[in-house]
Amino acid sequence: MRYVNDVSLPGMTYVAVARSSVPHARIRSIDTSVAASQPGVIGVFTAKDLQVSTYGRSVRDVSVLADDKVRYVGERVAAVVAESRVAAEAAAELVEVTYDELPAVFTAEEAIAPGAPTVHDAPWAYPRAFITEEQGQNRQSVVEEGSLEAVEEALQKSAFVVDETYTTSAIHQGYLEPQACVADVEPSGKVRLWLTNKSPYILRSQIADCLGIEADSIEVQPIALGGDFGGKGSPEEAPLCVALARLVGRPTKMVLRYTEDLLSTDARHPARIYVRIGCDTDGNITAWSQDALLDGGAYGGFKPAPTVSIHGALEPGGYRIPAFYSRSVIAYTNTVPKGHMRAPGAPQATFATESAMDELALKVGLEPADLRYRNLLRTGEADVNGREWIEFRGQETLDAALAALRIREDAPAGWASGVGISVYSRTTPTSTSSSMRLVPMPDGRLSCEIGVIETGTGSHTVARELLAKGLAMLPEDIDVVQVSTDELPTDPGAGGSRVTASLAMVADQAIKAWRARLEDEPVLVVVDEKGGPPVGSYGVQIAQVAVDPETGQVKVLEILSTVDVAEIINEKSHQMQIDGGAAMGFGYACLEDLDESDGQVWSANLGDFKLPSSRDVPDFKTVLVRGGRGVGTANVKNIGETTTPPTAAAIANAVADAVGARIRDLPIRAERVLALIEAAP
Amino acid sequence: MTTAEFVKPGTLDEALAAMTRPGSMLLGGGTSIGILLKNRLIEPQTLVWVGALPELSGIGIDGDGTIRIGAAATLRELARSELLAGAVPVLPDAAGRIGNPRVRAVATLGGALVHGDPRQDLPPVLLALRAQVDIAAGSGTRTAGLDGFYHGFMEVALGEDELITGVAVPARTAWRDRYSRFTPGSEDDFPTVGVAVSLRVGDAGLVEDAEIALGGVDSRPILAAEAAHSLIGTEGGGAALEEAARVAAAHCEPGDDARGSADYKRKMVGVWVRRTVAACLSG
Repeated sequence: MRYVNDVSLPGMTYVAVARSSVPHARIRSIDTSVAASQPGVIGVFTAKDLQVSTYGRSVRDVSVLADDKVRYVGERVAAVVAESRVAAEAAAELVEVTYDELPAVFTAEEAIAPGAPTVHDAPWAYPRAFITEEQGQNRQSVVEEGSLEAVEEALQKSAFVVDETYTTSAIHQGYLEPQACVADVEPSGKVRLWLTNKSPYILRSQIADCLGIEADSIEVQPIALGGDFGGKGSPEEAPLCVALARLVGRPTKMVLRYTEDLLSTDARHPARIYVRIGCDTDGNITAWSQDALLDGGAYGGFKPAPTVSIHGALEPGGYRIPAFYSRSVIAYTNTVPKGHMRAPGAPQATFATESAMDELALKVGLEPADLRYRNLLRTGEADVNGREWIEFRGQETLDAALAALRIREDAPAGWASGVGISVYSRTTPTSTSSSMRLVPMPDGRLSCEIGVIETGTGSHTVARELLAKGLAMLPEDIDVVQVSTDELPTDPGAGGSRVTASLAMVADQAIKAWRARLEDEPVLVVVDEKGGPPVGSYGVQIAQVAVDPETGQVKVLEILSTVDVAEIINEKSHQMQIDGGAAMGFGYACLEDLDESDGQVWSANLGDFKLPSSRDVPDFKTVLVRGGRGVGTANVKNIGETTTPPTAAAIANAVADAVGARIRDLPIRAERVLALIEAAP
Repeated sequence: MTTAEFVKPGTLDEALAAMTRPGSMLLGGGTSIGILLKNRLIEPQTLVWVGALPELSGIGIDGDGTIRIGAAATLRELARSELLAGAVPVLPDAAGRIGNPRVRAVATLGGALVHGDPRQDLPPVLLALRAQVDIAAGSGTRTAGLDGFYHGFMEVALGEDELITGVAVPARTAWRDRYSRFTPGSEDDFPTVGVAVSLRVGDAGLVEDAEIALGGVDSRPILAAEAAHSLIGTEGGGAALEEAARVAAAHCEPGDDARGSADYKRKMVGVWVRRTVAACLSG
């Protein structure tokens, strides 16, 4: 395994950047002369030196280097190329920037208020913008689903209505390996890249558009990633590194310091979600509205699509909902650009709606599990969008969770105990556009070439086991090799809980082609699978907590994850996704917060941005509800993003059960809990 | 990170000589210096590694019961010391809860004392124990009480040419010592509030002498002398304990941060002074 920082090329140069110290300002001048005169410095460059346009995964709104304006603290303003990293970093500190500061907006609420300062003058004018001028300033996207009118009418007639607002914090993915890139431009113009990106085939056009070159002149090299969790999907520093390599005529290398990563990459959107759910006297849901306002930060280009950011809104727990409305507004603000993180949108939406379901249960006088049970869709029913799924196993999954629950009796003396439940449902992608080559080796082994980057999830092991099973070979006789983007036609990249399903679809075709081949020669399959009826999976979590009533401290004793599964290709890596997902959900619920008040990231190092350690995480227990119907002949369901979204609501519901304190704002900090306990009548 | 010359003296005298170089800085385990260097908050020209100096090593006990710990003793040595576990168990208990095994394997007692971050654990523990620090310089040696050593945030009463060689803790006969580190978020974090309590309890069950020290709630680790005094002559419970908790909470000057607001920290000082005193008396 080789990571980006391990890559060393002859003539390598090193890049460091000077970053904005202010959240919003016109750049009056940049003086690079002192920096440029430092020993070891090859050149210091600003936006005017680069022949590039803006870039992004979707909307192309991100500046490679700030041109006339900076829009957040940490934005790249000038780049130093030097003979060593030390020299580059020392010189970057000597770049003198003079700013004319502008009024700024630090929250989505401020951003959409009438007369707010504008982050971008004409965001609708960027290529691939999601919005129009009519939708208003400081918007990245506005997505509406369902009928507000129908919801209002149904709420009027509902016996019980919950009507509350929930907020969530911005958090970083917390991968071990920071963003990094090595770029090499050959005299022919061919670009070779080694970088922390999990979607290399899609990446090429994103970079090509920015640099004004052809996508197929870019070859992304195979590399292992030290963690992704959604944060390694954008081009990040790559356009800059390529542009600089062109300017200096030598390969460039840039590895972010972790503080830079926290300040400038693609954190999870903080959200304010206004939820209204109504039901009749028996607890049958009559109406459901979720109105989300998300802080997208200074640029929208770090996320692949606007709709994905309200995941969870489209499949709200797999419940039967006669009247449904969902709105998601992502605002531009003068904060760190937001992007995707494990189940984008769903942890926010699920915290809000699954907390609201418990609040509704309290009003109706039903057990939280009973309220959910009676409203979970059954196979054959249509979802809120009128779609029929291959199956709905929410009730079975909930039953299995309750059957496995053992009440903990190890709360410290004097602490209150509580149990909380949360339900989440997620789609398994049924379509893919991918390719695979099987190459017979002289020693009888089989080499499997794929475009899937190993991000640390065990995806290459999954590919090996799928082939071993299909070809009746021993897994150890199969080598799975990631090849460069020149070697295979396409791959969708890692993400969206799709890797196992996508690999299963392409492996299925490869196995058939391998069996049908006439000579002992390599077999290349390219699949463009459009997908069948939607497949999904339920994850039910039950959290058990102990709360110290005198300090508000919450100890999460246990998280029981019950998951609706079909075939499991590799039990260990499957379990790793369940446990890792719950650990991430726990960190989101209880610890992590970038804290961007006043436009500064206050948790700008891993000492202050607290990820859970092994001492902090609760006991994880798992129940697998086998026998589900999945995708393809391999019969698989999603797993990578199933156990993160429900965790925060399960814990918040358990805290409410323990001490009556209803947490509506993440993270669940002791101080907040104590304040609620003390405010209780 | 910039480059600095790394000097590894073999003796205390060599270390003191190396400290006279311009831009020199002492390095023990490097757990704090490493972070400061990486973030370019310090740019020393010379790093003098004192983590293995023989004069700074060892843990022992004098005839009068005084416990002596070398400044280069690592937190792991403190945590695993049978001598300390018998003589002053609060120290290995506190040391064993700091950071993680990788930190404890290299971080030194001396480094922990001179770093001067008010959120550290060992300074309040040693303050409550009335520890003395042994200090050496080219011009000679001196001994100073830890009370008075901390001036402000990362400011300690140590000359440019001085280094701590060791710590002396007075005999613990009839003393009961406890330390509470309250970390309601991650256990791997600085405490929101750290409370160290040392009580000398007489045969009649009355508190004869007391110290309460606090971490994380001021610009420096502090002694809450008035709060401790209110326990003397009492059984350490009831109204006296409530008063001690109230006075300690009023005495500190915490700031707002991610670990809690000033109000919350002050409130937690009250809770944890009560709990820590009670733990002292019960065990």
